[in-house]
Amino acid sequence: MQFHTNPGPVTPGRRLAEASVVPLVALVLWYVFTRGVIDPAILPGPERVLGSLVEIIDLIPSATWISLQMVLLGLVLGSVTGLATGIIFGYSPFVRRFFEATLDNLVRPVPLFALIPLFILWFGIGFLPQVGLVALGMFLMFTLVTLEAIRNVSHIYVQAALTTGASRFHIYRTVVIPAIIPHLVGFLRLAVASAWGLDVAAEFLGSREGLGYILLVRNQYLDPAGMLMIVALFCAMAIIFDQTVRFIARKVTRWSPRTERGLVGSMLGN
Amino acid sequence: MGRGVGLATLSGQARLPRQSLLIAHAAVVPMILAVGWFLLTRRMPIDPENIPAALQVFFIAADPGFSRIDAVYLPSPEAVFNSGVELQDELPDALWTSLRIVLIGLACGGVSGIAIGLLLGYSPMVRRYFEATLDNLVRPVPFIAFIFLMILWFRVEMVRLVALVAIGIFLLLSLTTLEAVRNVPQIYVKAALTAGASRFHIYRTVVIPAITPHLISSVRLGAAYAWGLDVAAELSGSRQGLGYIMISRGSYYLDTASIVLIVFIFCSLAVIFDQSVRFTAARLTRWSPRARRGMVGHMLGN
Repeated sequence: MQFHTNPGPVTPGRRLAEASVVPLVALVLWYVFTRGVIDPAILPGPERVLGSLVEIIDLIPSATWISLQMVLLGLVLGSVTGLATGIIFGYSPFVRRFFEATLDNLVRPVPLFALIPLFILWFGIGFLPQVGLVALGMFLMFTLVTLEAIRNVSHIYVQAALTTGASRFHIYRTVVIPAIIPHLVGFLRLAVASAWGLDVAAEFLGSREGLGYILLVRNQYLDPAGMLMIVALFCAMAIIFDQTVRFIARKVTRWSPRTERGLVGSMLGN
Repeated sequence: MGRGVGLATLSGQARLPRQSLLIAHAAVVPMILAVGWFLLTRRMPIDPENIPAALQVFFIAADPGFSRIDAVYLPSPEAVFNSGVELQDELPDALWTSLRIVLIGLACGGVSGIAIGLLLGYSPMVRRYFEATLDNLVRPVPFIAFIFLMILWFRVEMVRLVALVAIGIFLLLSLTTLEAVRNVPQIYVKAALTAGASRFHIYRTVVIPAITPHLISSVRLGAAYAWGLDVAAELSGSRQGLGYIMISRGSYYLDTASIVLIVFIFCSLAVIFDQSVRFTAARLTRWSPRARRGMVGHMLGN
């Protein structure tokens, strides 16, 4: 048992090579199995999926733009309102006493997708109801996560500020809010992924534009290649969003302690 | 600080209102919502002429000088209850189907997710090959987008519905388990290493107990998520379960009362699940340090 071992420097190149093994194998398997083993009506091969682009290429830019707008608008509206509400919840025991139990016990576990048919009845099919659904989901998540983050602020920070005579409001502004930022940034990844999920569900259950709508039309034409193409576009956009958020998160929380390497780190998944 | 901050409040117990008072406060908002719903669906002394044009679709004239919200938009509590009576033959079956989908999906996805998460934490080799794919390419993807393709891929409907829930839960739990392993304080492992424990032994006796609280909160999240996935799966082209009743009543009959009823059932099931997970969690993690009360706790939302 070597306590001090450093398991050798792993170059970024080697790490990348190792990480790309699985996706490459998956791609090759997809290609091989769709040559005769699997019926292309069930799983079309990569070349068919790319080929399907010819038919729908004209529709894609505008549809992508609409889906993108829905996700972004929903994210921005929901996160700003949720953040504000979460901070008010943390700040005021009074508000918490009346609203927290309802929000935490009755609203949080509710499957938002179940509300989609009601949303369609109430607000019709279209751009705004879909943005509303994404925003509602983000609002709930952000409210609860902000409150959770405030609860996790180290008590010693607040005690120190209290000893120097700072007021409640002042402590909130200068201690609590800066302290919750890393937690919130970490959560942003999950939020962005959920926003795409909500958007996809909203588009599938009633839309007249956007990528989801094209997928529904392709489904009517029994065109799995076209459907896979749209799914791939959704995935690609979600991955780009995710990478952007990670990049920002790394910049914002650069000061936070890095994880340890060595034997202990390797045992704990680093 | 109106009531004066003594050292006693700072360090000691804050004067918390009694338990019954807290429950009463928590009940205010749901009560107001319930009463508001009841009142809104009565006839209201508003002349239909006086309703702003934008809102007129939502109202119908009841009697001279009175109007009522159109039941297509907001059915009354009685109408929702009646639709329950009307659907009483189909509901138990549909409920059992949905419950089974969620439970099997949660069990399959949960067990495999936690196992894979632990394996990822345990073995640097597995991590090197799989983690980047799972974390960068699979995690962010809205895999609900595959729902319609899954109709092609899974011939048996029940298998498809369960698979969708299980995959979602698997992805959620495998990554949160790995995350939890990473958050185990290094000092615990160092202490165990100094005592001469083997890697496997440390995993069994230090790491797994240490991640339990974290895992339980993921399971709580997972339980809520599983209902969401189940609803999405049932709403998109299934022929059984509560979601199917919702779609069929909604899109063919514009029967809002049934939709609201099913939404209620889904919500109650999700709330019951959530409460049971919380109850179990509170028992399992009784030893973990409770959030501190007192002035600081009060300021930080406890």
